[in-house]
Amino acid sequence: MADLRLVTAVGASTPQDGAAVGHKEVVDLLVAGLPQDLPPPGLVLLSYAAPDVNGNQTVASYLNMRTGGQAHSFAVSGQGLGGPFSALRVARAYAAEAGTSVLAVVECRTPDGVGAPLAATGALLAFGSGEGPVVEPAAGGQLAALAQESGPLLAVLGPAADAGALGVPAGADIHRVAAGGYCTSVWLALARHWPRWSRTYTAIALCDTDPLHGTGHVAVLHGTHALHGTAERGGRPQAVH
Amino acid sequence: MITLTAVESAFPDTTVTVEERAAQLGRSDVQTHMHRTIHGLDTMHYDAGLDLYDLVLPPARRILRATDPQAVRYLIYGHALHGARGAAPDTPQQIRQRLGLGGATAFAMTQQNCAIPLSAIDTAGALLRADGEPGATALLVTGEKPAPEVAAAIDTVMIADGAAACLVSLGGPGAQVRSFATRTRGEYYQGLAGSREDFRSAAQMRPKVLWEIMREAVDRAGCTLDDIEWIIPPNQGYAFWEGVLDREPVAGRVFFDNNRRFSHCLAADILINAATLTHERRFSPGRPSMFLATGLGWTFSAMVVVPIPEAG
Repeated sequence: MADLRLVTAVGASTPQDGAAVGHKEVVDLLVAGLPQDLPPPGLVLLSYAAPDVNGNQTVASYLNMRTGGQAHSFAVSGQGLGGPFSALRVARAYAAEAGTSVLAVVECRTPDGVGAPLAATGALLAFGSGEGPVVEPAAGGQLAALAQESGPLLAVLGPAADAGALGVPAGADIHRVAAGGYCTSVWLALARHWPRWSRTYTAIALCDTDPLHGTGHVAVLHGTHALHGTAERGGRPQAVH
Repeated sequence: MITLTAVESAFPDTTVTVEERAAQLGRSDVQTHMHRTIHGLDTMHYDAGLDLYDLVLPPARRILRATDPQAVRYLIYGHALHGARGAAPDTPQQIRQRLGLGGATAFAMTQQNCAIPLSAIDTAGALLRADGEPGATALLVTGEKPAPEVAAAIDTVMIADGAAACLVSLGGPGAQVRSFATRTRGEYYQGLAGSREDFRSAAQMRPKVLWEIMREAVDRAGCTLDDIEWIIPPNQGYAFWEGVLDREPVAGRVFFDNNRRFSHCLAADILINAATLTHERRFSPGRPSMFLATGLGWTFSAMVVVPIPEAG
């Protein structure tokens, strides 16, 4: 199976003051931050925990069009904050076939039982076969071995992540994401801090625990190198149609 | 190779005529006439009091009775409607729990509207291949129960009740998936909210793209359209397929039987039709057939499957 390697990570955050901000508006901010020379992806994935405010728009198709229009595209959802982790698993399964792939994790609303997000947020990860770190889903029990093999490990913990249950080793550095988001938390943190983290750590674990049902999720990046094109976009989206 | 090991469908007992369903949906006499004469509808299953889970669980349970539930690694709920009109966010988890598949990772695939089952089959196969676990399977569940006002608003079709499920594995008995071709035209991402011009240009574009993906699918499968026994489309009405499925070399080999008796059950249609052909033993073992799917947004997909003769 081909490795899934990170090419770039883009984050976006925009206030939800009055106007209904939907997934398309967040996607527009994310795509604006992508490097111009990113090859058209063969796979485009959109992941979210709660449905879009606009049920007519097929935003996965829209993201496909905005990134070249040549991809197999669909959304992965229905799993709380675990959706993006399953989408990552899908991206890895298609790594050889897709060449370049993109995964956009977006959040404008949250499922019942979780506090409303403070802002509309998103993170877009682009993958390819270059020299970036290998990205893969993992089980919590693998983190101690990863820290031993790879050197300094950073554990990025979502607001509700249970570090003990997720098997975060005692020696790992911890970045705890502040409350205010749900399914985008750890992915947005990665996009925001990647340049600094990649210079410091050889392995990064994204860890979160779903407060709705206590399920834990882990993804790891290892073999880190500095990336180009990382950016965060902010601002006011266009009017919703 | 990806294999469809089992496929099952289910419907509520209640049957209504086109005219009865049209009255429920608030359709005009002209629209009702169009559904019957142009789209070829007659009856369909619909039960207003039916719960989503009463609709989608029976075919999945029938499959699980004949397989090892412990081997199911993925439970994929493929649904057409999304946004606030679609399934509740925890639907896949509810299905997993009610089926007793605690060892499976459950998630939804959507945003291809009615084309999603073919992508879900391909994705299930890709995940199983990546995991490399011998004997592991994935269960795809389809079936939707839109609110009455949502079903009424989608007035180009008559949405009825029907569900289907299929078990995906790598190798083993069943129908082998020989190819998958897909194309998304994202400029139509606004779906039903698109402009009149969007609908006009989409209708003009559709036959060309359908022919492209059908030919791509048979090329990848190493056969020709002449070799295909059945073209199996969703039950969206005859008119939708004009210019394609009424033309040579596929005319006369399109499975339309369920169009008049089940109408459109959104993303479940293709698996419903595959279940009918399987249970009526109308697939010739070793001969390729083609699933053909379309979904607002617009996504077009074609998949060549070859039923394998049963051993012994």
